Amino acid sequence: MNNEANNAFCLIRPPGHHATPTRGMGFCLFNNVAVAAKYLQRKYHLDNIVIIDWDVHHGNGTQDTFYEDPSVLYFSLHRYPFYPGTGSKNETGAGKGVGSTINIPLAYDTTPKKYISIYEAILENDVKEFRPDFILISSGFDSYCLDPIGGLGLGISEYRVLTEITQKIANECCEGRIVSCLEGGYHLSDLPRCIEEHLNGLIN
Amino acid sequence: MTILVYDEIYKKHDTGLYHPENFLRIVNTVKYLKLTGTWQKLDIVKPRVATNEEIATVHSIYHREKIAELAGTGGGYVILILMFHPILTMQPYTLPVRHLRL
Repeated sequence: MNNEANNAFCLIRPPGHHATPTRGMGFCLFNNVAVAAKYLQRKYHLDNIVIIDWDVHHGNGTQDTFYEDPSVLYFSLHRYPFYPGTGSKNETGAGKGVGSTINIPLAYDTTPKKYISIYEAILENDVKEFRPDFILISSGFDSYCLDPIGGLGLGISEYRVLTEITQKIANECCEGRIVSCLEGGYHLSDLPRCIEEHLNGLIN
Repeated sequence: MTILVYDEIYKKHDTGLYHPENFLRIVNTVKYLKLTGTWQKLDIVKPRVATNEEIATVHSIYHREKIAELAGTGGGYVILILMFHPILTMQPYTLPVRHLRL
């Protein structure tokens, strides 16, 4: 926010997107991204924050936190049906927050090409129209095809493509401001390579 | 410049090596990024600890205190969850809490 950096990646654990306001679940204790969004709202008085969640699991905790909040757009692509069971297409928010939750449930056999095209379409339309002041990414790397407990067909290089699409939208809407936080991703030897591709996208 | 937020403390959340969310995820990543030279292109920043007030913007005080209590007594298990696995169908995992600085 003080123009000291272009963007950031947080190499943190445990992950956070399953943690609801009242309980920890799915390896998560505290919802890192949700706390970050609240911090940005309070400290910098930002009107519109977008949280993009490309972890293979639906971020039920993040969705719960902002389900009635029109100032935070939560967008998740996830394998479905899958853990934790939430994230159907008709979960779109409640009260004033109707329309500020976008869930894209995907079948196990979704191709990387289809995944990327859906991702790009949502960013180019819904995210852009929302006019974000800041983009947070719940970057789980368990949609990687060989992930031992996830898997949704993505290759390592797709994480760079996703990052570049996101960076383009961030450049157009909010001076490139992105903070990405590690969520899942459990392939011990390929997780570092997925993260590196993501970082290469952010660095450029 | 791209910032990488990292602290050695993330390695200390001890779930055991047989848990999928274990410290090697981070250890391997740091090692790999240093080997390939990506680490050197980044501005490495050590974060501060979130305040109770900041955590309370999302989480109930009861939730925070429950986890602090578990961590303070050397660890425990928060909840039993079930992961759906394509082959094993349902595989139970627990979420241990140890060595958390709260």
